[in-house]
Amino acid sequence: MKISLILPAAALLILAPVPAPGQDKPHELAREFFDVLPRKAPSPSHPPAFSHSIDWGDMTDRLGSIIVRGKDTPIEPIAMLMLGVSLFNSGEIDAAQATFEEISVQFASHPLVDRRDKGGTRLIDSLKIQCAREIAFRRTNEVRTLPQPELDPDSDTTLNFSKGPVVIRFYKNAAPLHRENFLKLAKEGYYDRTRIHRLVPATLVQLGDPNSREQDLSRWGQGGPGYTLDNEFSLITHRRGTVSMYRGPGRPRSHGSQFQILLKDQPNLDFVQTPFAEVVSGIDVIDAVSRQSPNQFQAPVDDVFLNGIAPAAKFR
Amino acid sequence: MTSRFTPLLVACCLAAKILPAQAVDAPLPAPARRPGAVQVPRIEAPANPARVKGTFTVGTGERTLTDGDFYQAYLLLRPHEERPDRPLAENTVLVHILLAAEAEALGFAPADEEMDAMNPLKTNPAMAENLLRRWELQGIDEAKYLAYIRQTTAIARMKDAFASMAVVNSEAIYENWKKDNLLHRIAYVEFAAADEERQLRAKTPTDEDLRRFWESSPVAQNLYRIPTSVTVDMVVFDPASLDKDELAQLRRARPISDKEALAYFNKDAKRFTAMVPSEKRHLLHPSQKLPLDQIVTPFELVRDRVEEEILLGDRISRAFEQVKAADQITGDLMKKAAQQHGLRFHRAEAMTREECATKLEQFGPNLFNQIFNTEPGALCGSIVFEGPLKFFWRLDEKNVSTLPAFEAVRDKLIETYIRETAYSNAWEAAKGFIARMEERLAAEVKPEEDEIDRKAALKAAEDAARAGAREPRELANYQNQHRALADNEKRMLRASRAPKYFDSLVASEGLALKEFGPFTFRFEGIDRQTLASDDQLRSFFESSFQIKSLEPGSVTLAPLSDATTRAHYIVKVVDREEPPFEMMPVADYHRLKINLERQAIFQSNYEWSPFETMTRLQWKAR
Repeated sequence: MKISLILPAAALLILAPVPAPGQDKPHELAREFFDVLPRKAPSPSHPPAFSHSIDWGDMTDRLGSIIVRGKDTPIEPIAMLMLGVSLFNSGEIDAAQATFEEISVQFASHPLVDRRDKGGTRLIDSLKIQCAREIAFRRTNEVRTLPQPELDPDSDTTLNFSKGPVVIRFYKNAAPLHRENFLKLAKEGYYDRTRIHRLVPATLVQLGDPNSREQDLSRWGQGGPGYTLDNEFSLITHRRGTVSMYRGPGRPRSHGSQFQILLKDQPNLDFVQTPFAEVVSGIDVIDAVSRQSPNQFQAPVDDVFLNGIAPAAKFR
Repeated sequence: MTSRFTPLLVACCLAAKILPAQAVDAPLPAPARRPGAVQVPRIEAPANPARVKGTFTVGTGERTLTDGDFYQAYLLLRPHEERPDRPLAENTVLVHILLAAEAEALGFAPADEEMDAMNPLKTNPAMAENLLRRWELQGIDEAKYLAYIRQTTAIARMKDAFASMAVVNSEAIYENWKKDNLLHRIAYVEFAAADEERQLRAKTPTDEDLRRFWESSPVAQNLYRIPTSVTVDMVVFDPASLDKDELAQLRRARPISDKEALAYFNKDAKRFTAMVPSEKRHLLHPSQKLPLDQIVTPFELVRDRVEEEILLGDRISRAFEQVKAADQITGDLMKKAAQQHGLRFHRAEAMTREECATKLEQFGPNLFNQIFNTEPGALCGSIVFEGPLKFFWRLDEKNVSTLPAFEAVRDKLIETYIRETAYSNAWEAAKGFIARMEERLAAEVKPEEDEIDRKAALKAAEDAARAGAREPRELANYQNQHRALADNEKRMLRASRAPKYFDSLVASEGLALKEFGPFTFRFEGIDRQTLASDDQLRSFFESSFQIKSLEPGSVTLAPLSDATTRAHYIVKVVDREEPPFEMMPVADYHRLKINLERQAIFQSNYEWSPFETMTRLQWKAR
């Protein structure tokens, strides 16, 4: 995340370069603004994006640029409101409050600014109240956050499925215990010749159960190494390609060996399960598996074996 | 020179002649209706378009909506959103009008230049004529199309913008967290089995004590119970154990054609397909296109099995018929039949349920249940198929679970007797304490409890009279309802008064009052047996719903028993306070933030519901 200057929006107007005349047409700026918006209104096919998965620093920079270029255009007040929200979410509360104050003055009679909720409070006022509360809270409490996760390009590890290889990459600064546990089990051959034992079409596959070597399908999904792991939540959001340790419903801790590879974004799993790697190549192999229909045990009708795991050179 | 569009023009003219002409605002054909389905009334053209349908307010200005405006908006939506089986409801059209007006007023409507980029006639001129013709059939023209796109885009942008503006502050997150993580301090009296054990070990238990214990204790009985066991004779056809040379010889003597093998396979294709070895299953689903001669079928992969069954599979049937026909079916007879027909004989002696599940797992998970429900000497009804195996069985002997004689276990019982009796005695001691506490408490609260009961009876009678209830059952219902409420009120009264009697009784009986805390409750499902003993007790208190439900100053009115620490506890909640923010784990902060954001985002969605929209924009129907 880029670090924005902690300045009110007015300062951004002064410091930013003046665009060439006719360079940015209002309708192009409007289109750019609505493309930049971090969230779509939620719907069954569109889960909402949560703050921790949005790069608010980058958002602030882009909005600042739109505001500078969109001065005196219809998009300006809307973009400034969004800028205030972005500053708030990136922790720059003073700047957010200053932005909302500026909007109150500059666009006092704008319908969006004046829009009232059920209780009669103006939108701009409720945003200012949020800022005031946050500032007051932070005066007496230290609000900590987690580090931004970074992938480790030297950690590429290959999962050799009977349908093809899938390469996953671990994180430098997230879920170290899960990574170590996974690699330990891989080196012991724990995962060798296990099957993908659970398939939710177009959503995820689950594997890592030694029981899946057996013929009794009713036991698949119930095996493990005999221990569980502490959760290691982070700012990694669950999206297509995320490798995440399974955590059964009602269970307090991560499973010791079973993990999932996601095929679509599932932010509802954030801070519920521990993600510890990303697929960097071979997701099409899992896509092909996912096109099967599962049997009554939710397993793929045709077996997909994990023949073995080849860790990165530095883990061998 | 004819245009290259001439054939298309001709086709369209013909289509226009063949297809019925459709007026722009002609109604759609009535859909077929499911019986009982609620029919949404179709929106009809208004008799008086100038009539005012209602008013609404956007920003500071009041606006009027006429029936004509409403109908025009319906016509705008109809080609895109109405289906023969799902006509547009009036509310849907109305909400669209209101939201479009709101979105326009708030500045979310696309500019004219943006509309050019959304106009397919301009972005794809080559297809313009075709598109116009298609629109004509649907009753759309360019202006209406653009109006529809403009309105829906404005509404979508408005919804997205508000979803993006949802914010959650740290104070709200902290408030949400702390109510589930309050810090508690408790004081408790422990009635430990260990203390009782010391006393019991000081004297030797008599035979009478031990016998009485043996006859009444399920714990002791389960330790020494002799489980149910069965002895069963089985005759098995197992392809894996066939003599390979014999099989090869049979194959040479009786070659099996493809046709015969395929016919046999198709008779039971599902069973044979399940026999495809798992390491070969992927051959059935190649990841890329293959030439026809390289495609593999299930039949090809189990061809050997099919042949084995054709050549030898009827042996099991012949053996079964032979055994079934005998006057008396014995194990020896089954063994002889197995040998005669080249099959395997297996006798499983005195197998318990667990042994059946493990040692005989290849015969299926339900074998024990099937065998147990038969009488000794009986033969199974038919040949059983389990994967590649075919077999039949005869129950030789069944020994139902029994308890050994007391004398056989007497000496082994002593330790169990001491441990169980100690735990039970500790429970009795704890109950006795509660009883003495309640006795003192009852003397104080009895008048109040009587008053609560009296008021409840009165209220029940009043409610029954108001409802006109006369039947004894109805009257009893009202009485029961109010009695339950009264019981709860009495419970809460006792819980609040108990502490002072708890303190005085602990002091007068010289019991040790221990303290624990501050702690927060954790319901993590940990196996406490694996913890050190101090942690076992800590975990017990931290996971107690009964303690969590108490207010500060209250006492548990029943002992809390813990089999792990082998003790019973009577607990008083001393106080409860809010945890400081710095105790909140960072992961919890983010997790709760997600929950609150989700609420805020969906709350913003709720604003677009018909009720909220009409309320917010002050819709007034005329």
